[in-house]
Amino acid sequence: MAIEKMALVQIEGVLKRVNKTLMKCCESKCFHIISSNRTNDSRSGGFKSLKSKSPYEPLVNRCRAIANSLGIEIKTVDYDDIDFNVSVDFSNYFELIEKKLNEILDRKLTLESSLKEHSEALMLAERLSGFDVKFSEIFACDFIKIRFGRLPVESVPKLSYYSDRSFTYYRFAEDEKYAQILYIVPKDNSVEVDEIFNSLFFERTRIPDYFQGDADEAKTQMLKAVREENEALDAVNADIKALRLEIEGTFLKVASKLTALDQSYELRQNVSVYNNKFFISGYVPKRKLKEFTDSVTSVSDVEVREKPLDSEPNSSPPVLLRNCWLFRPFEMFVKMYGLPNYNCFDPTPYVAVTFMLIFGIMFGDVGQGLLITVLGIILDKWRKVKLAPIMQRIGITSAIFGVLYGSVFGNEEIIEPFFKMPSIYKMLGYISAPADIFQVSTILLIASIGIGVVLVLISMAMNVATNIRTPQWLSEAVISPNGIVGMIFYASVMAGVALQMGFGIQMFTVPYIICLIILPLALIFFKEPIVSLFSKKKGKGKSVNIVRAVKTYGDSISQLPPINDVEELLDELSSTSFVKAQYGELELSAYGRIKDSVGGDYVFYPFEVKENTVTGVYIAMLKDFPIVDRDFSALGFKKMKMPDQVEDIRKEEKLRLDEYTEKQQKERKSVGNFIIEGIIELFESCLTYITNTMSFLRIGGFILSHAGMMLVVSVLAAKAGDAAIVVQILGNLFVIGMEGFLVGIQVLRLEFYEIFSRFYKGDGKPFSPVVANFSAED
Amino acid sequence: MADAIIAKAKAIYGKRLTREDYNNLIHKKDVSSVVSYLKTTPRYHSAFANVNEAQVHRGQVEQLISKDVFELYLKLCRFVAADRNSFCWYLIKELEIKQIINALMYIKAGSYEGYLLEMPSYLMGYVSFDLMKLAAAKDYGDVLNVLSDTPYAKVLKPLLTNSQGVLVFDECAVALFAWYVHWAFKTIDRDFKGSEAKNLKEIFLRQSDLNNITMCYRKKSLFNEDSSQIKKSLYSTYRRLTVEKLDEILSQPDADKQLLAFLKKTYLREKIECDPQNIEMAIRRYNYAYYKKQLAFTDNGTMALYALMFLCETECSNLKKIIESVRYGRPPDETEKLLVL
Repeated sequence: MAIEKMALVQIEGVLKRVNKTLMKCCESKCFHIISSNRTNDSRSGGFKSLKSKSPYEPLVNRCRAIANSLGIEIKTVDYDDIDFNVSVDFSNYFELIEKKLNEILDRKLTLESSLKEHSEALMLAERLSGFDVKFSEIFACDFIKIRFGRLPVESVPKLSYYSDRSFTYYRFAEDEKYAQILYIVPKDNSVEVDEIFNSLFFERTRIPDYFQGDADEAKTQMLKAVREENEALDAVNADIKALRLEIEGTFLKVASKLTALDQSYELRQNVSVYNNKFFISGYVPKRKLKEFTDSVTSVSDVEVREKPLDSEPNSSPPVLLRNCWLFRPFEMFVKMYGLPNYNCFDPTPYVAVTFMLIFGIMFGDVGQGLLITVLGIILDKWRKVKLAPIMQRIGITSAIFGVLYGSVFGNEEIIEPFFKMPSIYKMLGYISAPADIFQVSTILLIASIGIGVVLVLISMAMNVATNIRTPQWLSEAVISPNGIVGMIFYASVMAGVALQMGFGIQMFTVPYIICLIILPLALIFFKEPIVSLFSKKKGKGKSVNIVRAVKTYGDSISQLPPINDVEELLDELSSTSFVKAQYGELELSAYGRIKDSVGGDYVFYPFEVKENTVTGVYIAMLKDFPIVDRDFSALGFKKMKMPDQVEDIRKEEKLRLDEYTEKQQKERKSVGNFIIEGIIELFESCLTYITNTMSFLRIGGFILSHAGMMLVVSVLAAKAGDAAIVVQILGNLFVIGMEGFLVGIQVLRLEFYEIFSRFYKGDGKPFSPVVANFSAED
Repeated sequence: MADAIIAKAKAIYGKRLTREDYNNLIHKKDVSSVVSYLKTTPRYHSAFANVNEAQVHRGQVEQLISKDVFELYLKLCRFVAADRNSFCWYLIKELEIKQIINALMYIKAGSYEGYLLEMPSYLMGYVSFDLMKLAAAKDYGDVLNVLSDTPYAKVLKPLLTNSQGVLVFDECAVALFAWYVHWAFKTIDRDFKGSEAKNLKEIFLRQSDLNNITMCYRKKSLFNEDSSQIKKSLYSTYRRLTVEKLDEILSQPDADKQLLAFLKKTYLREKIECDPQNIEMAIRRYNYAYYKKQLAFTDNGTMALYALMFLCETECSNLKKIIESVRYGRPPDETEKLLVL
C-alpha cells in the first residue's frame, strides 16, 4: 500500500538488436523509457541519438484507412499467432482486403454521388413547390428566359432601382439570409439583366433536364429516386459489415503487431548510440525487474544493468500507485489532484478511509446504502464506470451508519437508532429518548467539528512527517501553520475551547495562553527571520540577485552584444531560484566562439572589453550549469570574484553591482513591510484554521438534511394513500440521486480543500510504460 | 449593466480569429476555400451558415462580414443601460457619414450605379435617411434633398452649393467629422461624468490627432503642399498635436521627418515599427494595440463596446485584405504584412 518502488535500468546491446529489444520493452508493459542524458549533449564523447523513419508508417496508414472504411475500432489484442515479420507480409495481407473492399467502396461512392445529386434536386423541387408550370414548357420557350435561384435578402430592395429594365421577378420563398427568386427576361435582354442580377449576388440554380412535369411531379420523381438509392446504399453497407465480420479477428491481431513494430521505431529517439552499441535507460517496478530482465536478455547480445536511482540527474523516478483492492479505486481521486512525489508517501489509504467514513456518516441509510452498492456492482460489471467501485464501498459504509441511525429507506422504526438507546441518550445528557434525530442536532454538529479537528490534526502530522527530512524542515515541518508549531496552536485552542465549554474546566490560564497560543503565533509571525538565522546557505540567493542586477544594468554595462540575450530567457532565469552565475574573463577571440561552443540555456553578459580580453558573467539554470561551466572552461574562461562595481559604457559613473542586491535585501528587511506581510499571513493562517474547522459542519448538516428529506418523502407517502409505495420509491430514488451526488461532491471537497491542502503536493510524474499506441497522429 | 457588457464583449473577443487562423487563411487558394474555412470558426460559423461557397461572390463575402459586425453591434447595444445609450449611436453616425461620402464620390465619378452595388442594405431602418433615394441621387442637389431632414444637410449645404461642380472631399469629410465630434461630445457630457467622459472624449481627440498627422505627412512628403492648404484638410480637434505644435512643425523644411518623429515619440513609442512609406499601417497597429488594452482593462461598458467594435472592424478589414489577396493571387508573406494583428 504505497508508491511502487522503481529500479533504474540501463539496457545495452549490439546496435542490430535494438528493434527486437524495443519490442521486448513494449511487450513487457512495465518499462518507462527516459530520454538518455547522453543524447541531450551532442558533444559528449560521440554519443548520438538514434533516429530514423519507421518503415512501417505507410503500412500503419493503410491499416488505419481499412479500419476506418470498415468501421473497425483498433485495439490491442494478443498477436502471438501472427508470424508476419517483414513489411511485405503486411502489405500482401492488406492488399487482399483492399481488393475486396475497394470494389464495394466504388459501388458505394457511385451511389452516394448519385444520391447527393438527387437529394439536391429534391430540395430544389421542394423549394419550387407551388410552381405549377411544366418544366418541359419552360425549357421550350424561345423568346423568354426564366432563371431560378436565390438572392441575398439585402439585394432584394435594390431591384427597385432597376424598375425601368425589361424583366419581372417573383419571390416565392424567403429565409433569414436568402430570397428564392424566379425572374423572366426577354431573350434579347437576357445578357444585360443577367449582369444586373450577378452584380446583386444572384446564385442561379439550374433546373435538371430530367425534371418532368411541374414542381410537384418532379418532387415525386426525385423522392422515388432517393428512396431507391438509399435502399441500394443499405445493401452496400451490409456487404461492408459482412466483410468486417469476416476479417475483424485476424485484422486486429495484424494491426496490433504492426503498431507495436511501428511504435518500437518511434521509441528509437530515446536510444543513444556509441561505437555500434545502443543504450536505453528507463524505470521498471522493482518487483517486475527480474521478469523484465529475463525477457529483455533473451535477445542475444543484450544486457540489462540496474543503476542507482540518482544516477540520472535530469530525471526523477515516475510514480505508480499500488494499493490493496479496498483502497485501489480511490487512487482516482489522488490522481485527479496530482500524483505524489516519488519520495513522498501515497495518501490513497488515508483518502479511502476518510472518504468512506465521512460519506457513511453524512448519508447513513441501510436501504439506500445497499442500493448504491448494488448500483455500483452493476455499473462496474456492465459499463466499467470508474466511479462504480467507489460506489460499492461507500454504499457499504452508508449502510453501516444507517444501522447506527436506525434508518432503512428513511424508515426509523425497523431498527432502533443509537440515540434512542437508554445508555447512549443518558450519556449525552438526555432524560428521555429524543423523538428524532433533529433533537440531537447540536450534538451532531459538535461531533462534526470534532471529526474535523481530528482530521486537520492528522493532516498536519502528515505534513510534519513528509517535510521533516527535507532541507526545508524548519520552515515547513516546524515553524509553519501546518507544522509542529501550528499543530500546537490549533490543538491547544481546540482542546481549550472543548474542555472549557463542554466540561467547564478553566483552560485559558495565562501560562496556557502564553505558552500554547501566543508563543506559537509569535513563532509563525517571525518565521522568516528565524529560518534565515538557521539557514546555513546564506549566499544561495546571490546568483538570483546577479541576474536581477544584470537585467537592471545590462544596457549600461554591455559594450559588446550579449550572447543569447533573450529577454524571456533572462526573465525565466530570474524567476527561479535554481540559477547560478559565474563572473570571469576570456579572450576576445574566444568571445566570438561562445555561441558555437557552449550548449544549454544560458546568457552571457560581457561587462567590459580590455585590449584582448572580455570580462563578463554567464548565467544558467543549476541543472545545465555543469555543461555550461565545462564549455566555458574549454574556451579558456578564467573564473574571477564578482566585482562590487563596474564602469558604465559612457565612463561617466561606476555602477555598483551589489547595490541592486542590497537594495532588494533592504526592501525585504524593511520593518514596515515585514510587519504588514506578517500580520496578513498570520491573519490568513488563523482564518484558515477557523474556516477549515467550520467546513466540517457540513457533515452534521447533511445528516440532518438527509433526515429532513426522508421526512418529506414519508409525509408525502402518508398523504398519497394507495400510491404510497410509488411515492416512497420515487422519493428514495430522488434522494439517492440528488443527495448522494451532493454528499459525494462535498466529501471530495473536504478531502481536497481541508485535508490535502495541509500536507499534499501533487507534483509526481506518472509511470507510463511504453506500449503500442493506436491513436492516429495528426 | 457595465459588467454585463464588458463580460459579453470579452467573450466575443475571445472568439476572434487567431494567428493560426490567419495563417491558414492567407494560404488558401481561392475565395471558396476562405469561406469554407470561416464556416468552421466559432466567430463566423453562423454568418456563413447556408452560404454556398462554390457560388459565393467576393463582394458578397465582404458584405456578409461587415453585416455580421453590425449585427454584433446591435446585439451589444441592448446591454447598455438606457440612461447612457445615446452615445451608442456613434456607429450609426459613423456609418451614415461613410454612406454620404461614398455616394458623393460615386456621383463625382459619374458612376451612378456604383454606390447602389456597394450600399449596405442591412443599414436600412437604422440610418436617418433613405438609402435607396441616396443611391438614386444623380447630383449633389439630390443628395441634399435626401438629407434634408438630417443635420448633415446643414453641414454639407455650403460646401455642395458653392462647389460649382468641383467637390473637395477632404473638406466635406472634415466638416462631417467636426459635426460628429460635436455630437459625440454633447452626448458624452450629458450621459457621462469624470474619467468615463474624459476617456470617451479621448477616443475622438486621439483619432483626430492621428488623422491630422497622417494627412500632414502625406501632403507634405508626397505633394509638398503649403501649410494653409494642408490645414483645410485637418480636423479641428487636437490632443497632442496642437495648433501651435503643428505650425511649428510645418514651418520647418523637414516637416515630414519631424511629423514622423513626433508620431513615434508621442504614440508609437518604439513599440510599433513604422515604415515611412506606410505610416497608416503603423497607426492601425497602434490603434489595435490601444483598443485591445482598453477592452482588457476598462470598467466602462461603453468603452468596452467601442473597443470591441474597433477590434471587430479591424478583423473585418484583415479578412477583406485576405480575400482580395487570395482573389488576385498575392503571395501569403506579402498578405501577412498587410494584416493588423
